[in-house]
Amino acid sequence: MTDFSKLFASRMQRVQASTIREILKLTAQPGFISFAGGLPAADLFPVAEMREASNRILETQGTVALQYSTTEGHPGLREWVARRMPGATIDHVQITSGSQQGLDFLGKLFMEKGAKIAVEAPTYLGALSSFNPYEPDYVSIPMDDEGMIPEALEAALKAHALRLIYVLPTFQNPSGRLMGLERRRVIVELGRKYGVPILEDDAYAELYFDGQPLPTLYALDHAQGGGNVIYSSTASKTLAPGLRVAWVVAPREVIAKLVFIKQGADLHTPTFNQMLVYEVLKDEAFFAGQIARVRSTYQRRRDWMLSALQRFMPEDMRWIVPQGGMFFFLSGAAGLDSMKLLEAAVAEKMAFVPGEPFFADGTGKNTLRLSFSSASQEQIEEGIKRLGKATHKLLGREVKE
Amino acid sequence: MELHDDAFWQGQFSRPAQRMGSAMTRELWKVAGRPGIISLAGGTPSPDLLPVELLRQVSDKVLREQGQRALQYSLTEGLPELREWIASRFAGATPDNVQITTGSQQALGLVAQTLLNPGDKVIVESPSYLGAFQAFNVSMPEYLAAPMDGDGLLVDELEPLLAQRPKFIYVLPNFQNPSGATLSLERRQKLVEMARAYRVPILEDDAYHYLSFDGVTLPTLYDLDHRLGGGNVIHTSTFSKTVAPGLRVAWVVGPKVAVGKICQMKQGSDSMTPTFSQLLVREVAPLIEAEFVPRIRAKYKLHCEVMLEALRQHLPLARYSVPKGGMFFWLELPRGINTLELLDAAVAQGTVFVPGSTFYPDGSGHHTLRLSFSNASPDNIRLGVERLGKAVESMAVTRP
Repeated sequence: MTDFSKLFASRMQRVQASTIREILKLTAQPGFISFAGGLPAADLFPVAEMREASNRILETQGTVALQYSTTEGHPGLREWVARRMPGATIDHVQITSGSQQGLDFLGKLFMEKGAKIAVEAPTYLGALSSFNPYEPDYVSIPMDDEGMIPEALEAALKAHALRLIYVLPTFQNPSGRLMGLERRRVIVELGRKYGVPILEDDAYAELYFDGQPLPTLYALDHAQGGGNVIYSSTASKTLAPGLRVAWVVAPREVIAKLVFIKQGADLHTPTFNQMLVYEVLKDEAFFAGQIARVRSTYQRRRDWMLSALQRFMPEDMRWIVPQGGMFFFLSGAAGLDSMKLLEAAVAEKMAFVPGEPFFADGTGKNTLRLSFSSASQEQIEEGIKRLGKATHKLLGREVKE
Repeated sequence: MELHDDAFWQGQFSRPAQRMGSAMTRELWKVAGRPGIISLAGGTPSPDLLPVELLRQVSDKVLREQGQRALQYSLTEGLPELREWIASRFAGATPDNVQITTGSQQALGLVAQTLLNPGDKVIVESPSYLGAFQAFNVSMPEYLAAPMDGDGLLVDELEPLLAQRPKFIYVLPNFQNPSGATLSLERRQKLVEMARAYRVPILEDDAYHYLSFDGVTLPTLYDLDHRLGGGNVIHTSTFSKTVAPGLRVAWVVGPKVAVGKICQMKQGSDSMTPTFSQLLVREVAPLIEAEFVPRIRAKYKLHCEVMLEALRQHLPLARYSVPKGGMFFWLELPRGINTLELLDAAVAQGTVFVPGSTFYPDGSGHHTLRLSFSNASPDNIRLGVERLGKAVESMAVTRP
């Protein structure tokens, strides 16, 4: 009958099934060890507290929880978010169905054919999936161990009329990098100097292991007068992703448009889920304990993975030790093809995500991402051993035992 | 003073975003929430129909038995058990034909983004669902307005519109929002055949499927198309009208190729519909037809009768058909009355409705309005309509 493939919009050429997703479907087999997904550890979800909260909410405010609600989001939750952002009020906050939706909305708002967007190289793959339907041109900004390189950003700002600078300054997905304080200041100043808004994706903000959290770009921009940073974060990494509750904090002109976009997209984020998240977050003592549990668990898993990498991987494989977040990002010797390595690893019954899709400029063929968030010590040990074996074999070297 | 002014932001925004924003309806919802105002505006379910205690038990059970799963990410397509349940209700459908969405509002936007380039044409009923325009506008289509009467879309007048090669036809066949009209069986049959002949897919929005007062439900366009070989109807419906809208769970059933692309679009849009919400809906799904729907029908039928009586008493000038289901009365007032102006008079009297022009793709229909009887209590329906009657009288008096 109707041949839909002839009816699809031209944007769909940039919305395709990923070959990696297809390969990763294989990893559901028993005995397989996958470090591919970026799933938070389910054993850390506050299930009992959610259950109590859900009973409480449906006993006392049931008809509110199950009814339509305002597009902007739950007032208490918006207030909670606003309180953590300097200078923000409830009117600067829009609740979204996961931070993925926030990225899609900002794509709708800022992007169209020919619009130029600066992204880090590498950058979050999910953001590229959100932005691609709007057909922007990406300007990839190289990174070093401290994040986006300011000189390269400034060159791009001079060369192009950029609509937006997309940055993940804290424990970046995929690279695990943390942008230093001085670097943050410089990036914020460049955005202001050239009048190009910064989109700060701060999904991993709370997941630091050592040291103290650095100020957000939003806060540093506020200290300069504010109005140039759009901030996105989520409850997915601290509480639970299955509820899909996240937020965008932005200047009013931006929020005003986001509300219309949200209304057209799904009216509002599920009322009940917003109330659940608020109910659990507002218990400060509990939330502090919850984050502490997530941090220490992920830190332990990072340490296990670090030790296994040191033992099983070839000498010329490089990585930085992430100070937070969920990922190790490995760079192999030039010539290492991580797509081929994935095939070899799948043969050994382990999986990771090749780095190339995280690079909007198509580089990064020799890189790969490993997630340590939900694996046990035994899985990490055995999985990295298998990866080491696959890598050595692929490079024609003797396997380290 | 922030760094950028409004003009700066407008310059950074995309073309569809620059055009976005009709302040009228947003202001309307704010007024509707004021104490003392009786709202006949929103199409929200009656609070007494929400299965609060049952969902409390079910939430407790889901979090007890599969808490980690309920709170974790899940597949973009939706939960297998929910897709299976939905597929079982559509002739010829398998779970691969089903995509779960965050409300059917999301389904409309995803279908539009999947099919529409800027300037592509879409046939819409005139009037049609306001939220659909909001969902479609992001993709910048050109609307072809198809006229209606009390039996829905005038199918005989579609041919010249189909000849303009639209990308799809958007239809709400049951108890249409806003007009309340139901497309007759004969017209359904003909619409499906014509759409097939022109190879123009139909997007069938069946949100009000179960809300017929007498229990009579005509076959869906999806089903009629299936009988002719299938593959030309994308159908969307929702649990918002039968279970609870605050959960935001709905679905798309359609040809696999189209559903596959919609899924890829959804992945970048919000990754997935909340796992927890899907599990709750799946738990109560078997009760929908047996328990929820009869209660909903009886209640809305009563509300509809109350509103009809009040309209006869207080709004003798209005013309309307009596709905056989759904949530809305659609009123035509004498042509001289602009319902946007009437809204101000109604607010002054303490009630609100939705002015009809917002439902027309070309902004016409200035003398029409939509009244919802789903949410207000019978007493408030009577009082609201009485207030509206006074507002109309005040307009008639002040008019030269």
